[in-house]
Amino acid sequence: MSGQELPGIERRGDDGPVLRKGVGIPASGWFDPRGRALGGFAFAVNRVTGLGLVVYLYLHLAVLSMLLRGESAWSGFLRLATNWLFLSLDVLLIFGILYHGLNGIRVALVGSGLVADRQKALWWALGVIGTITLAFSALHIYGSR
Amino acid sequence: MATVRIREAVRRRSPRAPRSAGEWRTMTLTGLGLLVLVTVHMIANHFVVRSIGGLRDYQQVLAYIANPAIFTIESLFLLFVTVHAMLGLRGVLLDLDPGPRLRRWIDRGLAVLGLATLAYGYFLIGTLASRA
Amino acid sequence: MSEAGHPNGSSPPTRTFRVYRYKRGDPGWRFDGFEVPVGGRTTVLEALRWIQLHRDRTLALRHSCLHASCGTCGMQVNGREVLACVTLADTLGSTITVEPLANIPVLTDLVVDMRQLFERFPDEIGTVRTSDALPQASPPDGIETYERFEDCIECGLCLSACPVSATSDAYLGPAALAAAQRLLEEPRGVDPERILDWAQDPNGAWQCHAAFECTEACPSNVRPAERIMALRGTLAGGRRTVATVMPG
Repeated sequence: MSGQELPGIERRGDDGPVLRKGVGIPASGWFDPRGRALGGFAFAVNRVTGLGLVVYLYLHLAVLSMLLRGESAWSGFLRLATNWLFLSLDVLLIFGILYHGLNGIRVALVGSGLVADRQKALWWALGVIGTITLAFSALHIYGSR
Repeated sequence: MATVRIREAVRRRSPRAPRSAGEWRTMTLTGLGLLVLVTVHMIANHFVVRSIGGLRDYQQVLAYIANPAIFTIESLFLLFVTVHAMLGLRGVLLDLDPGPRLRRWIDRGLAVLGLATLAYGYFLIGTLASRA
Repeated sequence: MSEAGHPNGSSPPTRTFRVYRYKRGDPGWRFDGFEVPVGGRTTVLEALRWIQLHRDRTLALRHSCLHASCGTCGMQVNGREVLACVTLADTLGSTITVEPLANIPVLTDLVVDMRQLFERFPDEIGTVRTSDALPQASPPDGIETYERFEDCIECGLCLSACPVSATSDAYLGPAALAAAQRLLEEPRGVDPERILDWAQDPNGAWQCHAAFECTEACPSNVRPAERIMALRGTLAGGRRTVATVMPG
C-alpha cells in the first residue's frame, strides 16, 4: 500500500520536535548516562578516552619539543613532571590507554562478529586485567617518588 | 494481520562511502599494533629507568632514540597512533551527521593534520637521534 | 483503580507522573504533572489511561495489545525505553517521567512518527511473509536452537536507545540492520548480494559503535546488536565491495 494515506494521518510540511538524549548539545547524547546499560557506558568512556588521548598526543609532541631546546629546557620540564600532580596525570594517562586499548580489543572482537553475545563478560574480564595493571602501574609510579 | 507500510520520500543518503570495511580493518589493525607498540613505549619510558616516574633525562632520551630498534619502534608507533587517531576523530565527527560539503572539509582537514603530525613527529625523532 | 478510590474508602497511594506534552502549533514542549493512584499491579499504560480519563482528555498516546506483542506503546519512562503496557509503575519511584521515544519526530504528546522507523528497513522486508515451515517441522540438522526475527515487533525502542541515532538521523539504525541480517539468515528468495550492498551504506552497519543499548532496550529478544555484529562479520570478511545505496 505504498504511498496511500490512512484515514486520520495528516500530511505535514515539517516534523515535530525530536527528543534526544543529552543536554541539548548533540554530542552530549553519547555521554548521557540516564537509562544506559554497560555497553552504552563502555562506548561513552571509550569515546572520552579516545578524545583524551588525541589531545594528549599533541600535548606530548609539544612537551617533547622541549628536547630540541637542549638539556636545561628538558631538565626544567622534568622538575615539573616529577611532582605529585604530574605523576597523577601519568596515572590518568595509563588509565586512558588501558581502558581504550582493552575495550578496543573487545570492540574489535565483538564488532567483527566474534563473541558478540559475550560482550559484557568480555568487558568485565578485560576490566579486571586493566584494573590490576593500573594498580601495579600506579604503585610503581607513586612509589618512585 | 497485514501491516501497512507508508513509503515516504527518499531519506537523505550520503552519496559516497565515508565508512567501509576497509576503514574498520585499518582501525582494527592499527589498534592491535598499538597494543604492542604503546606497551613497549610506556614500559620503556616509565618503568625502566630508575628515576621519579621512570622519566629519562636529556642524555638518556638521546641514547634511547639513537638505538636503531627503538628508532624503528617509535617511528612505527607514531605512524600507527596518527592513523588510528585520525580515523577515530573522523568517526566521532561523522557521527554528528555533517553534510557532504562539511564531510569533505573534515576529510581534508584530518588528512592535513595527520600528515603534519607525522612530519613534525619524524622531524623530532630524526633530530634527536642525530644528536646522540 | 478508580476515581472514587479503594473499595474500603481510603485513598490509594499516588505517584507523580511528569508527562511530556506537545501539540501542533505549540511554541515548544513542556511537562505536565499529575498525581495518579498506583497499585501494586498498575502499569504505566494504565496510569496514562487514567490521566486521559480523569484528568486530561487531550493526552495523546498509542497502545493496542496490552501484552507486549504489538510494540505500539513504546516510550521512555525515567529515561529508559520500555513498553508501557508491561512496565509496573510501582517500581519506578515517587516521580515518574514519561516521554516519547527519542530520535524520532514527535507528532503529539507521546506519539511519534513511526514512519521514520519503518522507512529505514530494507525494501526486501516483505509486508507479509508466509512461513515455509510447518508447525510440526523439526529444526534442520545441526541446528539445536534458532531465533526467529519475526520476534521483532517494530516498536522503535532500539532506535530510541541507540547513541548513534542520538546524533545522526541518517543512520539506518538497529531494527533495520538486524532485519537485514535476518534476511541473510533466511533469504526466502531475496538476493543476499542486494542486502549486503544495502548494509554497506555509509550510514549502515559500519556506523554502529557496539554500544549494545539496542539489545538492552529490545523487549522481544531480537538482540539487534548481535545481529549487526554478525552482519559486519560478513561484510568484513571481504566478500563485498563498497557500494552506493540507490534511493528507495
